[in-house]
Amino acid sequence: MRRIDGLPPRPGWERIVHDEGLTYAFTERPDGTRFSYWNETAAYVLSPGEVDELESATDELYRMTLEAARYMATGALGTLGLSEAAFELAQHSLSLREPSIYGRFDLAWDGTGPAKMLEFNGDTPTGLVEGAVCQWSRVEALHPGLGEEQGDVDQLNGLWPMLVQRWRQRLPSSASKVLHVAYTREEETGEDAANAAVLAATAAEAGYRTVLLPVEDVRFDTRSNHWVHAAGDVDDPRVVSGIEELFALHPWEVMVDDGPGGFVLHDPLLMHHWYEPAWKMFCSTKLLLVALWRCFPDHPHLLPAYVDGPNGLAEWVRKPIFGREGDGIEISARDVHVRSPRPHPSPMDVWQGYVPLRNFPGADGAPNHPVVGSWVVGDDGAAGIGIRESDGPLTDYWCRFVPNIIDRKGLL
Amino acid sequence: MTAASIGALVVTLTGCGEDVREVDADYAQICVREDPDTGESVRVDDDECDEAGRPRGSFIPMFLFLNASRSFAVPPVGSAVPRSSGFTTTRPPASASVARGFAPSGTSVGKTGVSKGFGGTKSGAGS
Repeated sequence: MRRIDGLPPRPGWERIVHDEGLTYAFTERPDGTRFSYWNETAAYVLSPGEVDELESATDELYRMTLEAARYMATGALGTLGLSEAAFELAQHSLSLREPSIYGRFDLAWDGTGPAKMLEFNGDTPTGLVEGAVCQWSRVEALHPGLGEEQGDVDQLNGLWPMLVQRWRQRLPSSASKVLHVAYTREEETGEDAANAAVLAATAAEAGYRTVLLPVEDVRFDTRSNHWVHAAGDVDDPRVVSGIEELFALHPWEVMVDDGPGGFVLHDPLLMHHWYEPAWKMFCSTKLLLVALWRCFPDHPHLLPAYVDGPNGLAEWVRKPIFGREGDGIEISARDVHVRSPRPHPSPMDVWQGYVPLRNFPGADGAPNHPVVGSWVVGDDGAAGIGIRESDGPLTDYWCRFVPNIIDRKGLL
Repeated sequence: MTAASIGALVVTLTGCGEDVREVDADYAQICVREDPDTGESVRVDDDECDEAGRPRGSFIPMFLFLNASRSFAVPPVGSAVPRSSGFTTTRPPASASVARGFAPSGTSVGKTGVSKGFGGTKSGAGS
């Protein structure tokens, strides 16, 4: 894997990525400077052999993750910081093999040696706009005809068509053919709404009629014993429609602890067609890392992980089990001591072996430490990658998204 | 004010280790007696109060306004009714429906209807 720099930016690229849905490309740093999450002038270049390696690692990790989820369902790691009722809900969901839509592994990989799994975002993975849409159009502008069978270049990116295909697989079991897609209206940058829009658009392409709504309007009507889309004040709600099938871009561990969570726990059959399924509670916790290491010790794609301390690890990363976006993470390594300024109120932590993220410095000498986000969709496995790079070893709110290019003929 | 008996309880939820009685009524009613030593209102059997919601001797009905967005605790008979419980001695309007007959051992009560939605988080839900 190589990083190329100094690519000519497209005229009006800021408007282009905004119109593609990346409405949150620009943010303001605490010091007031403008910061771009989208990198228009760089790309990571992969060889066909490296693509095979990444896809193979992703498929293997997903197979192992499903096995680790079954291990967690036995209670070997307790109730995972969840209430007993929530844990039983996840167990029940797994026993029914309720279908999932997608997930994303975050891998430490620089093109040499086996990719190492940093974590799996199994419940509410974002990055769909830049991963499925923006990076494709960016590289297509550089190389018209991108992805053509005989072309010189391609992109490791099957995310959009595979999501469409996944929804198409789900459609025959849908009674109403209506999918509600929920996101929290409290998230201020628009990232959650934009990711929900990608899920809705891919479902619509598959044949669903889709409804985007705030998760705050997903409510339970005790008269009809049914989930409903209801707007308006809580004392005077206006029911818009019933909800048969829902994708909620909202963490399960939060939902089951929230007010309406009592209704979820009361009758899981009422939300049988909810995506991601409740068993993804096994995959959205960092305790998955511990389960994987117990099930597959010394596997080349895994890092050692423990629940009760570093257990002799000389260099480690402490992660809150429900942490997101780098919140609450602490790194203790020979040359690196970092603690996220944003704490996370998880009930417990996991200690994972530290692996350095290689630096791919830019033309200006600025550091770039990439993490490879490798997608899986449904049962079809690897679905492409999205690369985010950071100044330091922690991938946080100030990372940048960089497109990838497959160089089929060694021309780049 | 229309009375609803315990027969109007329509749903029992079990969530987070808590039973929630869903009632198709606007208010929940219990009966209390003021403890002369402490001044606290202590829950007593419903039979001690007037069904029409009027005080009878030292026994006084207390009312709790219900909504579907949350559940409220009904203390056991013999226990004090804390000020924070939401119960007041203010009589509901005549048009309101009132549920009574809650378990002497105490329970939680919520109103039949449309619940509140899932809460949001400013930092987002994605990962």
